[in-house]
Amino acid sequence: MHKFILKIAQFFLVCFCFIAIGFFLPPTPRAKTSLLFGEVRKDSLLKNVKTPRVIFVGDSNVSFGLNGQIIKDSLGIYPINTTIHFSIGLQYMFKHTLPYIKSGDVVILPLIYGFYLDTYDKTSEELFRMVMDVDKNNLKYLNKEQILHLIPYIPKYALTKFDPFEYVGFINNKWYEVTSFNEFGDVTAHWNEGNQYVAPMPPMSGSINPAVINGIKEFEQEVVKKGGSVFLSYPCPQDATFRNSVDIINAIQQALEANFNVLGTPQRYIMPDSLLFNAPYHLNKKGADRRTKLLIEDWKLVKR
Amino acid sequence: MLFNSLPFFIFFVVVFFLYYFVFKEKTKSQNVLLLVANYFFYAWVDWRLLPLLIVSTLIFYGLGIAIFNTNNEKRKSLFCTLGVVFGLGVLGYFKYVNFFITSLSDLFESLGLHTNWHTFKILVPIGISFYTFRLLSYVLDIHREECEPTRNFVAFATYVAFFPCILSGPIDRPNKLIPQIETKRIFNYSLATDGLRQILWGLFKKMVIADNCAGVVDRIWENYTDHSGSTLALGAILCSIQVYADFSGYTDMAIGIGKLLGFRLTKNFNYPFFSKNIADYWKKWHISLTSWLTDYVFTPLNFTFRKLKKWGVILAVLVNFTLVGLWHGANWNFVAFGVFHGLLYIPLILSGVLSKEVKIETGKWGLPQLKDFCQMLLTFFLVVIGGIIFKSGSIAEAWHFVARLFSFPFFSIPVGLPRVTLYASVFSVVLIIVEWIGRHNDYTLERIPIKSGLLRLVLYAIIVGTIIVYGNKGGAFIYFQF
Repeated sequence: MHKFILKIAQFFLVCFCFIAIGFFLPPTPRAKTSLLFGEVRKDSLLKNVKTPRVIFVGDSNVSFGLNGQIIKDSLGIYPINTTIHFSIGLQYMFKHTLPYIKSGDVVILPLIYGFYLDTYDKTSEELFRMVMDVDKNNLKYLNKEQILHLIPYIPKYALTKFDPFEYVGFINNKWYEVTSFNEFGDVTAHWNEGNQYVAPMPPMSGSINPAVINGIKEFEQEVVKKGGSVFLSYPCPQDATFRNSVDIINAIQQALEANFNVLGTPQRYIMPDSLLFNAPYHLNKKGADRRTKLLIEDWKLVKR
Repeated sequence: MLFNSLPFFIFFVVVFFLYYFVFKEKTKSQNVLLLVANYFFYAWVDWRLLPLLIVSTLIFYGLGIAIFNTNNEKRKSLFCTLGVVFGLGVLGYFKYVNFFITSLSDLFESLGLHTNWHTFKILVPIGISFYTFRLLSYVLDIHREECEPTRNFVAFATYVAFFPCILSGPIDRPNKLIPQIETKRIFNYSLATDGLRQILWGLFKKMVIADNCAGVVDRIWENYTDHSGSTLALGAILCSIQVYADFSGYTDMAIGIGKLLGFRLTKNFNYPFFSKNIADYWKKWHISLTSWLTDYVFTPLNFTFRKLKKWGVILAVLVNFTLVGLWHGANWNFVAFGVFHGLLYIPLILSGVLSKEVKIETGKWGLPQLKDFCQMLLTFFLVVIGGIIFKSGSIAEAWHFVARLFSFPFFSIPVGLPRVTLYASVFSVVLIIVEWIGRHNDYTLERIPIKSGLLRLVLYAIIVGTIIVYGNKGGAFIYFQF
């Protein structure tokens, strides 16, 4: 039995060595082309674009669902679409955006409904890579619990460095790359692609997480302190996906209207399948145009 | 509690520690621990399923002794029949009653007769097909005087509910496993390391191959009408590889866990993709089920129909394979799957190939001879067609899928398939190559031609790394539903 235990210990030591080496190797060529690296350019927009500007914070329902050019043309305000991926989590998104907020900024949060049921300080492989690959300084935006929860991602992250597919012959979907974004931060690489079959999302379950509502409130207070303003809006779900979770969505609407300045209603942003691209919240060009126009109409209503 | 989950890892580490450190060399205590672990493992799935398992175990334990103790042949047969009727009755009720109700109702409706029958809300006990077959073989073997009943209830209950095998087999025979349970077991280093190696290979097959294939196969199946023939062909091939990697991966893990506890379980797969005809394939696929059905169904039927000569064999094979299909599930596509395989036997029986020994000739590079290769390819093609029937939700869907497979446009570059398609395809090829090289082993990694212990550890670490990097956290094992 001792020999058996010793052998297992040796095996774990070998595994540990691989993980340790991989951890300190630089990001792979494939990782560097990932859409997460879009953050660098989006940060540059946040830093350099002068006011007046409207900043969108959220998930891929915004990056795949907005046409910044229309906003710029019709409102004369420069839109900055900072959104990348749902899995990065709200806590990180807010903390990361706050340092760039300037007086007069308008921040709009058209968050996917899942955010309100999820944990506020979410952790994921995407968040881990945001810290390890994109910019290690991003670590300062995470709290202790998040850092602890990110530890299980280390083996996969480190061992990926030895994956040959990360170095040669890797094929990314061109709409999920660092180059997929336009000058406003919208994903436009898919605008000439045909629609894909989109299966509706199953009904959502759970209840609204008060920590999320509090987190948004805190973010709003910080933005207001800096002279900006915050509005919430609704995502652009597929019709069938919306119908699957209509009760929860109604509850979310009530919670938002009770606590925040809200643009529009959930029903206005429901999208038919013909306006979707490849996911229940990802829009094609026509869909992005329609959603943007709806958002502008709602914005004008509030300004009146 | 899946084998590839953290709760199972914790569960097994606790059992392993108690088994070898606390109850060391005390067979009775070890068996009690195993029985508790078995029931805990089974109850983890759904505790409501446990009473049926315990009641069935008690009944068959009693029947076994009753059959053995009586000298009256009629009473022996009566007890045996009682066991068979009870086992099949329970199986039929839980697994097939709704199927028969809806099928009969549909039949009457098609004849213009309206029925008002309702199906029952039945919780199907997981693994019921597997443990029922164990129980049946126990009473049948005692009746045939091929084994004696055990008086040790703990050993018998452990045999029926042995946690590595209860959910998806292998279906061990009583005379193979019960004596092992009753014998003193001490830690065996080489058996334990062999077990770990087999678990590792099983994990690789399940997580890297089966679960990645699942992502592609499900995507193709959910909108198969939008894909070209070549994409459907890819989906169908990956489907067959998925089912094999999933089920044989589970079996490798089960046998490996058994080895860690000092048991040698029945081999369930013997490289079925390297078969020269469909009969050869079924000798290598789900061996414990096919041998069970051969012993208890095919052979008696074949004897009954012996006057019909070759047609009697065909009849016995068709009945046998209809049962193979039905065993898999209460759905007509499974029946069709069984019948399809049964029909493939007919040319073999009529040409006399069935009774010939099948051997694959290899050339100097270790590759199969062209003729053998073509035969293996043809068999694989037939298995893939069978796989389409197996995977489809209905016979009509299977038919449409096969029809589209051979329709224009045949070739197009797959669109909208996930990134894992590449992994699934590459690792499927790796699986075939590695299995070909290791096909003479009990399982592929059994003997690794590397002498250095350190290099072997590095190889295992690479496999673990591959599982971590490419492994997909898929759902439950496919055969859990059966």
